[in-house]
Amino acid sequence: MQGDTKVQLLAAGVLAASVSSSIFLSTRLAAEASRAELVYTTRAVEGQPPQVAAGIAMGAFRGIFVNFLWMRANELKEAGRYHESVELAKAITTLQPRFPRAWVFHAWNLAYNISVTTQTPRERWQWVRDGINILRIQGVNSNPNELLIYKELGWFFLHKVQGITDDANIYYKKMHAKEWQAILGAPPGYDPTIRDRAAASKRFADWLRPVAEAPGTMDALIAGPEGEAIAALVAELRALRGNEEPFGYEFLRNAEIDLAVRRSARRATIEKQFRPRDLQFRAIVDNPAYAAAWPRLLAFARAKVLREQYNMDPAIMVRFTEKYGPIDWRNPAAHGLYWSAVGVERAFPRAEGDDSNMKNYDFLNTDRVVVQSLQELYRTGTIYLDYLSMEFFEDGYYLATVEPSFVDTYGEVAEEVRQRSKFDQRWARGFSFYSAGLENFLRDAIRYFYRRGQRDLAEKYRQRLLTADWQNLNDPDRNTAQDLAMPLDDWVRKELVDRQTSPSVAISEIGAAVEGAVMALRNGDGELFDRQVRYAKDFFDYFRREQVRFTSVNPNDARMNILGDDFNLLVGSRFALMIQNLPLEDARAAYVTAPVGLRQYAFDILSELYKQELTEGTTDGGESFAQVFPEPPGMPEFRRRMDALREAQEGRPKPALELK
Amino acid sequence: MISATFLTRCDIVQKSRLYKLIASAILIVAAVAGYFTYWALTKDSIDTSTPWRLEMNPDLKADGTPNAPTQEDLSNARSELERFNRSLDRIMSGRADYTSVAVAIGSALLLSLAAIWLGISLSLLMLLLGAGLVSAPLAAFESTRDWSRLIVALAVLGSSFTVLMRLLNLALSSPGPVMAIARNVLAEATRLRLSVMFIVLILFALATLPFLLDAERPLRYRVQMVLQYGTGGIFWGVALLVVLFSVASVATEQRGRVIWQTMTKPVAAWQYILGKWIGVVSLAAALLAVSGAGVFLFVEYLRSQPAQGEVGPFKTSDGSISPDRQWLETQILASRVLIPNTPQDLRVNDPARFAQAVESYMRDLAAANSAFNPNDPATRMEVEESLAKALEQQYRTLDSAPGMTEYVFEGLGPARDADLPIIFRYRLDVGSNRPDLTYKFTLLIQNYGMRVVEVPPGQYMTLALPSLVVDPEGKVRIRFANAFPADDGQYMINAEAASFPKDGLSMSFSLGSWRLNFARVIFVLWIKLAFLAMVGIFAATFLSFAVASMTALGVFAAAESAVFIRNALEVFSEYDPSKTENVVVLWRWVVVTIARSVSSIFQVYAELEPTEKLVEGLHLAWGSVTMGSAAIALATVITFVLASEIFRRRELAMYSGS
Repeated sequence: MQGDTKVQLLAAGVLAASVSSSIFLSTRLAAEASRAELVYTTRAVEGQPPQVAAGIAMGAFRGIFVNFLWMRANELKEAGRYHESVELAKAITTLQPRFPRAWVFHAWNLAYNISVTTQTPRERWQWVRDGINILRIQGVNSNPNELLIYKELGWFFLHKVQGITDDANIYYKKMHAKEWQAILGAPPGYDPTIRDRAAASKRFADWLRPVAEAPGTMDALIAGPEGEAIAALVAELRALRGNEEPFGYEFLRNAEIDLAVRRSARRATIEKQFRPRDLQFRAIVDNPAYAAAWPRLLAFARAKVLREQYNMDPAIMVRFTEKYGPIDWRNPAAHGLYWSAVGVERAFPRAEGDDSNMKNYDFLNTDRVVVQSLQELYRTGTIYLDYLSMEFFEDGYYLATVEPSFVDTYGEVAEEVRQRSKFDQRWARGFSFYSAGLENFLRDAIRYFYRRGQRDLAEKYRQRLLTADWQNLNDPDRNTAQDLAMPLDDWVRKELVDRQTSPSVAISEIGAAVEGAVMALRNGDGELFDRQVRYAKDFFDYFRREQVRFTSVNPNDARMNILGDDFNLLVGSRFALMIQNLPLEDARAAYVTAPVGLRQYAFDILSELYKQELTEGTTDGGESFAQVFPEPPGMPEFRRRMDALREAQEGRPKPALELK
Repeated sequence: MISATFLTRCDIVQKSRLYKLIASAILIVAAVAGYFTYWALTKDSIDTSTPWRLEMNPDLKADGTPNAPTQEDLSNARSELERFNRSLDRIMSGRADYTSVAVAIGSALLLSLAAIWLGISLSLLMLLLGAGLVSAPLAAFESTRDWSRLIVALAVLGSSFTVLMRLLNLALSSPGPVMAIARNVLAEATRLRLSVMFIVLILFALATLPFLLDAERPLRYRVQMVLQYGTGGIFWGVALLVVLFSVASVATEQRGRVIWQTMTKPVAAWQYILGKWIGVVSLAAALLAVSGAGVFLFVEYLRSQPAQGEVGPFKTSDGSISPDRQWLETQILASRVLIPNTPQDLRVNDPARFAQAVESYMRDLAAANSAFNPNDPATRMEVEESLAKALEQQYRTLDSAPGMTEYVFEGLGPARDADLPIIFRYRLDVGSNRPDLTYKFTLLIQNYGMRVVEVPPGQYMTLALPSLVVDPEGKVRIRFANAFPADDGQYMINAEAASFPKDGLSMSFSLGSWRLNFARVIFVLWIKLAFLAMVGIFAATFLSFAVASMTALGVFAAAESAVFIRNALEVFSEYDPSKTENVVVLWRWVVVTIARSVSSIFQVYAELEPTEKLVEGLHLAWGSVTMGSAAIALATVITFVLASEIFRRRELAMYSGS
C-alpha cells in the first residue's frame, strides 16, 4: 500500500471516529447542559433558534448593525416617525434575542409611547397589541425562563389594558373581550345559586377542560373518537373555506358569531343578511352527522390557536382556574395573572436554593402583578358583553362587575407570595405592602358583601380582619381592633363616611347598588335584587338625613341634589337607562324579572328602541314586541304621573343661595 | 420542447418591419381601449356623493330676534364653511384620480413599443409566458400564492430592465470612443458576476417589498414603508452596485491588461474616464427608472386601497374621512412646506424694551460682583446673547401656572388661498421626559376653538387643521395652556413646567403634488449615484480593486453619515470631559478634526435627504435640487478632472497586474 493511501485511510478512520464520538458526546452534553440549567431554554436543543444562529453568523458586524438599528429606532421615535417601529423592533430583538431588556424596551415603546401619539382608539389598540405580541410570542419563546419578560407582559395587561390611566382603556377592554370570546367562546354565565368558590372554579374549569384535553395534531384528532365524522367535517370545512389550514382565529370567530346569532333575539333579521357562505357554514354545523364531531373539532381549533398564535397552554389555564378561581379570560387581568404566574413557575426552579441567584430574579414585583391581577379579577371578574354588536359595529355593551369568588384567593396568594419576599416577613418589619393591600382588600370585600345582603360573609371577613396576625404595626394611632369591634352596620357606614371626600362617593355607592340590582334582574336573581334595592334605599335615606350637616360646610352641596327626593324615581330612571344599553336578550331577561313599577319606567324607551325592528322580524318568524316586552299594567296612569312630575320640576323656583 | 427552428423563426418575425408595425398598432389601440374601458367600468362605482361636507344649520336665520345672527355673520359663516369643505374635498380628491392608471398603461405601452422596435418583443413575451406557466399552478394554493406573485413581479421587472438596457445601448450608439466605452460598460454590467448579482438582488428586493407589508397596519405606514425601502433601500443597493462596479470596471481592466487594447487606440484619458462614467451612470439610471416606476405605481395602488377605518377606498361607514386617510393624503402623499414658529426675539421686535432689560440685568450683575465691568463691549455682548437666549427659552416654556402663551406662525397665506389643510406639529419636553407618563394641555386655536390634547413628553404630535385658521395676513395664532379642564369644570394645572425645544413647533401645508416631488427625489438620487460612480472610477485609476473599493465605500459611508457626524459633534468635543477647564486631548482632537472635515465636505450631499423628505411628505424644492445638484455636479467634475489627470500620467504598460 502506498504511503499516501495509508495516510488517507488513517485520516478517514480518525474522521469517522471523531464524527461518531461527536454524535455521542453532543447528545450527552446537551442533556447535561439542560440538567445544569446552563442554557436559556429548558432543553438545550431549543436554545438555537435560527435568529440566534443568524446573529452569531454575522460575527463582529452584528454589534455594528445592532447599534445602527438602535440609533435609527431612537432617532425615528424622537422624530415622531413610527412607520418602521415594529420592523426595527423585530430586527433588533432578532439580533439580540437573549437580551431581555431589548425586548422589554421595544415592547414598552410600542405599547406605551407610540400608542398615545395616534389618532384613533383602533390604532392605539393596534400598537398596544403589537407591544404585547412582541413579548408574548417572540420574547417568551426566545427567553422562556426570563422572569423580566413575563413580569412586563403581565404588567401590560394589568396596567395598560385593564387599568384606567389610558383614555382609550374602555376600547381596549372591549376589543380584548371580543377577541377572547371568539377564541374560547362565551364562558359559563353568572349563576346566582353558586356561592362556593370551589364549585364556581370547577364550573369554569370544566368549561375549559375539553380545550386542554384536545389532541395536539389533526392526525391525533382524527385517530380519536368520532374520527371519521371529524375527517368528513374537516374536509367539508376546508372545501368551504378554500384554505389548506382553515382552523385559525377567523374560523373560531365565524363559529362564535354563528352561535351568538342563534342565541340572539334578532336572529331572524340577522339571518336574512347571511351570505351564501354563511348559510353553507350553518348547514355544515347543523348536520346531525357532525353533532358529536363539531365540539371536538372546535376544542381542537381553540387549543391550536392558543398554542400557536397566543403561546398559551390551555392545561395551565385550566390549572389556574382550579387554583385561583372562576377566571373569565375575556378579562385582561386574567392574562396579567397568567403571564406573571407562569413566569414565577418557570423562573423559580432556577433560582431556588441559591440566595445569590434569587437576587437576579425580580420575584417581588412579579408576585405583586399576580396579587394585583387577583384584586382586579375580584373587582371586575364578571363580564357582560354584547358580542354581536362588537363584531358588527366594533362597539357594544360592556360591563365588568365583581366576582366574589376571588376574595379568599387573594388572601391565600398574598400569604404564598409573602414567603418569597424578604420585605414582607411577619414580625420582621412593622409595615408590609402585602398586609396593607390585604387589609384594604378585605375592607372593600366586607362592604361589598354587606351591600349584597350577605351579612354572614361580611361578618366572616370582618372577623378575619379583626383576628389577623399580619396587620401592619407602623401607625400607633391606628387601632383596627377598636375600629372593627363596632356593629357591622355602623362599621360599614363609618367606612363610607370616613372614605368619602365628596358626596360623589355616596352617589357611586348607591349607583353601584342600583346597578347591581338591575344585573340581578338580568340574572333572574330576585333575592339579590331585593337586597341591593334595600341597601340603596337605606343609604339613600341615611344620606338624605345627613345632608343638612353637609350643606353648611360642604361646598359640593349642589351634588347631593342630583339624587333627588324620590327614591323610586331614582331607581326607575337608572333601570330605564341601563336597560336601553343592554343587549336585547339581556334587556328582555331583566325586564320580565323586574317588578311592575320598574317595567313602567322602561316600557316606552324599549318601545322606541325595538318595536319597529321586532315587528319587521315577525315576517320571518321572529317574536313580536309584545311577546318580548309585554306592556305592564297601569301605563296610562304612570305616564300622567310622569308628566305632572316634569311640569312640577320645571315650574319649581330655583333655591336661593344661602350663606351661613 | 421548443425547437431551435421555432425560436429562429420567432426571432426573424420579431425583427421584421411588418410585425413591428402591426404589433405597435395593436398595442396602441389596446392601451387606449384599456384605459377607457377601465374608466367606464369604474366611474359608476365611485361614490360621487360628498357626505363629509358640513352644512349650515338651516334653522339659523337673520330674523332680527335677540341673539340671532346678522346677514353678515351668516355670510361669513357660509364662506368659512365652504372653505372648510373645500379643504375636505381636496383630501378626498384621490378617489376619482385616473392619473396613476394612465401612467401605468402609458409606461407599459412605451416599454412594449420599445421592445417591439428593438426586436425583442416575442422573446420577452415568451419569458413572461414562461413565468406565467410556472406561477399559475402556484397561485392555486394559499401557501404558494405569494411565490406566484413574486415570480410574475420578477419577470415583469426583469423584462422592463432588459428593455431599458437595450434602449440605453441604442442611445449610446453614436460613434466615438466615449460612447463605445460606455456601451462596453453596459455590456459588462450584464456579464460581470458582481454586477449581475447586485442587479438580481435589487430586482428581487423590489419584487418582495409588497410581501413585507402587514395588511393590518394603517395604510399610511404601509405607504411610508414602501417609500422608505423602495427608494432609500433600493438607493443603497444601487449605490453599492455603482461603487463596486465602477471600481471593478476600471481596476479589472488594468489588472487583466484588457486596457492595453483600449489605450493603444487614439483614446484620450479623459475620454476613457468619461465613457466609463457614462456607462455606469446609465446603468444606475436604468435601475432607478425601474425601481422608481415600480414604487410609484405600487404607492398609487396602495392609495386606492381602503385605509384603516374605511369600508372601501375613500369610504367610511358614516361618510366621514378616516384619520388614516386624512393623514395619508395631507401628510404623506404631499409636498409640504415647513413653517417654523416665528421666534420671539426682543432684539428685533422691541429693541427699546430689550435694551432696558439688558441695562437692568447689567446693573444687578455689577451690584452683585464688584469685578464686573458693565462698560466692557465684549461683556455687554455676552450679556445680550445670554439674555436673548434666556428670554427665548422663557417664551418657549409653559410654566406650571395659570395663563396661556401665544405662538404665531407666518407665511401661511398660500394655504389659505388654496384652502389647503394645515398640519400643526409640536413637541413638549416635561422634566426628564418619563416614558410612562402623559400630560394634558389645552390649545386655543384662532377660528377653530379649543382642544385638550394628551401628550407623551419628548414625542412629536401632529394635529390637522383646516385653512380657515389662517387669518387674512397669512398668520396662525395658537395659544397653549399648561392645564386642562377636570371633570368638575375647573382647570387643573400640571405640576411641572413644559417647554418646546427649538424645532418643537412648526406648521406645514402641501405646496404641490407628491408625484412631482417623487420625480425630484429620483433625480437627486441619480445625481448622488453619478457622483459615487465618479469617485469609484477615480479611486480605481491608481489603486488596486480591493483598496479602491474600500476607498470608494469609505467616501460613500462618509457622505451618507455626514449629518449624523455633525449631530454627534454636538456632544463630542476635543476637550477632556472629566475636567472643568478646556484641556485638549490629542486623540480627541484628531477625531474631531477629521469628523468636522468630513461633515463639512459632504454637507450639501447629506443635507439633501431626499428619501427622508419623500417619506415624510416634505417638499424638495427646485431650489434645493438645483443648488444641491450643482454642488454635487461640481464635485463630480473636479473628481473627473483629477481622475483624468492621474490616468493620463499612469504608465499602464508597466503595470503587469500581478
